Amino acid sequence: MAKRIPMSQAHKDVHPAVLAVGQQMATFAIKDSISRLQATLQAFRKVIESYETPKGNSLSRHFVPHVLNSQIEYLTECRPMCFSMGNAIRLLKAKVNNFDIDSSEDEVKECLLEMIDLFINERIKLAEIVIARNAAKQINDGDIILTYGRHRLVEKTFLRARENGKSFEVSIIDDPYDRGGQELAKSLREAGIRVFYSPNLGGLRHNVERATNVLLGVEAVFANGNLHAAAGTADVAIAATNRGTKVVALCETINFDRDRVSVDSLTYNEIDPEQNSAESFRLLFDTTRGQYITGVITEFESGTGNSPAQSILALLRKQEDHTIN
Amino acid sequence: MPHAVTIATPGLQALILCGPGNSFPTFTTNPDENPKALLPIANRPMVWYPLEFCYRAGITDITLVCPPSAAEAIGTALKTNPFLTSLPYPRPDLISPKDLDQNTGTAEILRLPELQSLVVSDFLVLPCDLVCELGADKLLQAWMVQSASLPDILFDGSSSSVRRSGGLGVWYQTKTATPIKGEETDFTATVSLPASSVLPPKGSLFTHLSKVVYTMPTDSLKDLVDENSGLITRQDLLRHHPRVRMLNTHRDAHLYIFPRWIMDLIRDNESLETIGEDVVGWWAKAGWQQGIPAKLKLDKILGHTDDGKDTPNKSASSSPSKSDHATKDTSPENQISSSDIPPMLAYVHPSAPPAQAAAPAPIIRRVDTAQLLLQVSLQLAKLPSLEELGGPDVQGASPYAHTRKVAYPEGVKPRTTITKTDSLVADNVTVQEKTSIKECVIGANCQINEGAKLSQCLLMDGVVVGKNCKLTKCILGKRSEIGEGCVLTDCEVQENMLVERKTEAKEEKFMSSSGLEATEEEFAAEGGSDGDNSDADE
Repeated sequence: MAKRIPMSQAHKDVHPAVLAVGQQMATFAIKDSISRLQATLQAFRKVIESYETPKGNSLSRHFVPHVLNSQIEYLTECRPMCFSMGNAIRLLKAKVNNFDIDSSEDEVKECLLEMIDLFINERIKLAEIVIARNAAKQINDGDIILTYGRHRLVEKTFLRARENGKSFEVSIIDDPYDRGGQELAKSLREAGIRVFYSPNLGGLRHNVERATNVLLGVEAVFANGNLHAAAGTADVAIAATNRGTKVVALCETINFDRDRVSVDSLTYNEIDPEQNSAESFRLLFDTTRGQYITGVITEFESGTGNSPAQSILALLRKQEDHTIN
Repeated sequence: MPHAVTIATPGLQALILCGPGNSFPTFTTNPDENPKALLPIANRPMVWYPLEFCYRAGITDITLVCPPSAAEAIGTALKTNPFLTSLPYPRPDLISPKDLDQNTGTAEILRLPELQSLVVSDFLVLPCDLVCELGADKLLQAWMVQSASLPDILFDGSSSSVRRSGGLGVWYQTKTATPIKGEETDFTATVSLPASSVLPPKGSLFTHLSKVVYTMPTDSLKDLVDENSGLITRQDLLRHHPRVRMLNTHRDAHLYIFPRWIMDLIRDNESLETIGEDVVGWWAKAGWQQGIPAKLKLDKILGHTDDGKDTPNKSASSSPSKSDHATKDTSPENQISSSDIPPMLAYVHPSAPPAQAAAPAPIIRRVDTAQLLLQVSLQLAKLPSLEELGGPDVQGASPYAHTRKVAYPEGVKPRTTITKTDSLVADNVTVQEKTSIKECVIGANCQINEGAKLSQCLLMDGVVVGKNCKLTKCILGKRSEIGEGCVLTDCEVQENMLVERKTEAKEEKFMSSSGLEATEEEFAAEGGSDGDNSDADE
């Protein structure tokens, strides 16, 4: 659960930019994994820029344990880290450790900043564009697409498909505790897309019967192909697969976790700090088993456009070896 | 005991404006030797409170701004006053720009070149007379999350037009249980922030945040209303914000968290004189009034690129002739739209505590008249001391609690009555027998002689109270002396004044007659009444 420590209890080494990001994460002003990742990386950029190696130390040995770790600790205390943040930090630390102990500070800093920029461009911005484009290709005229809650990739896909001139309808099922679907409905309406909105999971069966496909945004994908997404996504996916409707999930590869495996919704989860009392609490995420998903669209597919979730791991392994060096 | 600040710094710098103010007639007639910033509130110099507020927030880059004439007095106090020297490191800087005099407006101060080059990041502006018990970290959190824009803070030079940060101000209710007559208020109109689907965290200030759309001091408002026999509201305001809340009895605490671009705004607009009225007022209006953003040159300041994506409302033709701003000549494509202006938010401090809180609401007051000084000092004197609570880290210990209520108990002779729960007695005070001290604040080095009865008084440093005096609700300045047998109620005695024995006075101000020659003549002409000016030591 997000402990959300106040600023006065933050460790004194925490950089002001990281402090601001942490506060925004703690108050859920930025919620989804990619925004958090981007904000974190940009804050780390500021930290690296303002970092000066103390005398007698070398950046590659001093930076991570003494500076970076306190920032990471503070961010974790504000809100538990998402998988993509964990992946990115692992890659960053691996990069720092690869440097020679004698390399000059400026060289290392420049390299790290470049890596962060490249990372943001490739795995966040570019991935978003590619996924939206690929998913938009799969939308045909006359489709009625069902989605759950609000996810930026899903939104971008719809807007992209609209730009491409497709005419389709969207059915939004919203999470009653976190009404992000309303914002999505507004932005789609402004683009001229017809929207049907349901405030909660009631009437799910009816909504699924109406829909021709289902497009879901997820938070992360586990190593065994199960999806980690906003609480309620699993219900939508199961109902849809039951009926035989195609269910497509959208996810950037940075959100894939190679080490974690989950078969239930309770192992990896987070308690909502606002709906939390002695008698009951609300969980933020749930796990959707891979068998209920027809395919996952990432920025990596080739040819057919969808890959079953289980094969992502293989793709990732091939790709990550290339990033480290 | 000074130590380094041990919490994270939020990357903001603080400016504390130590001007003389003009509402303290009795005690600031000598603004160079006795600057208002050093007047004691509950035995600590006034400027200690905003400094402590900054340190509690983790802000270490603090600069005091004062006129050059007062620089020496404040500089010496920073080095010698026991409270100021026990503040944590790093010490605040003191700058006294040469063009600053006693009457410079607050925005004009920020326009001076010394300050323009000093402010390099987002910054806080505090007046020297602010007592704010509310945690600064909560205010900073509210600013960081609701008002500041993350892209602005994490600006990496890649995107050209990034949404800039807004500001935050604090307003508090003046109509408390014991209102002060004649306290200044500000007329403020606010609208609530757009509701978000995320619930605000418990204990945060977000539920009390709103956006300012109109603000001016009540005096200016009265002038305006008199002139126009009514309050004129622009149609633009109601078109943008159909539900506006107007606050009549609140006061601006003058505690602002401003983004860096405000310095550019002040620099480019010479007509802005004061921060509270002009800068905040015009900024609030820029959010909804056609033409104001261009008038204030906000498009250049906010770095908006004119790629035509701003589409200003072309409502000038349809509204009646209220919109008289000469902006029709600028080409609409380059004009910044009102909806792109970062918002100026207001935290309206609730005067009644929330139902579940055990302690009363934190105090936020500006102390700029003598009556306020007395009331706030007495209010702070009622805080239990750290000794009684058992240590500074106990839950519920206010940051303003003193270590001990009677700092020097050896100076207090037996057979005296001092009500400890609501009095505060500073160091080195000698209290003779048979005195009664109820609900008073007594400064350092005072002497209270036998038989004196003090009730609800504020004594500054070095005061000598003669035998058998009876003082109620009085404010006695530094090193003043009250002769034997005086009976004073509701009086103010300037520093270094001597009040002759057996004077009886009610609601009088004992000031020195220097510079008041006419009064002396009048006084002589009238044949003199009792209780007014006696010898004046300069």
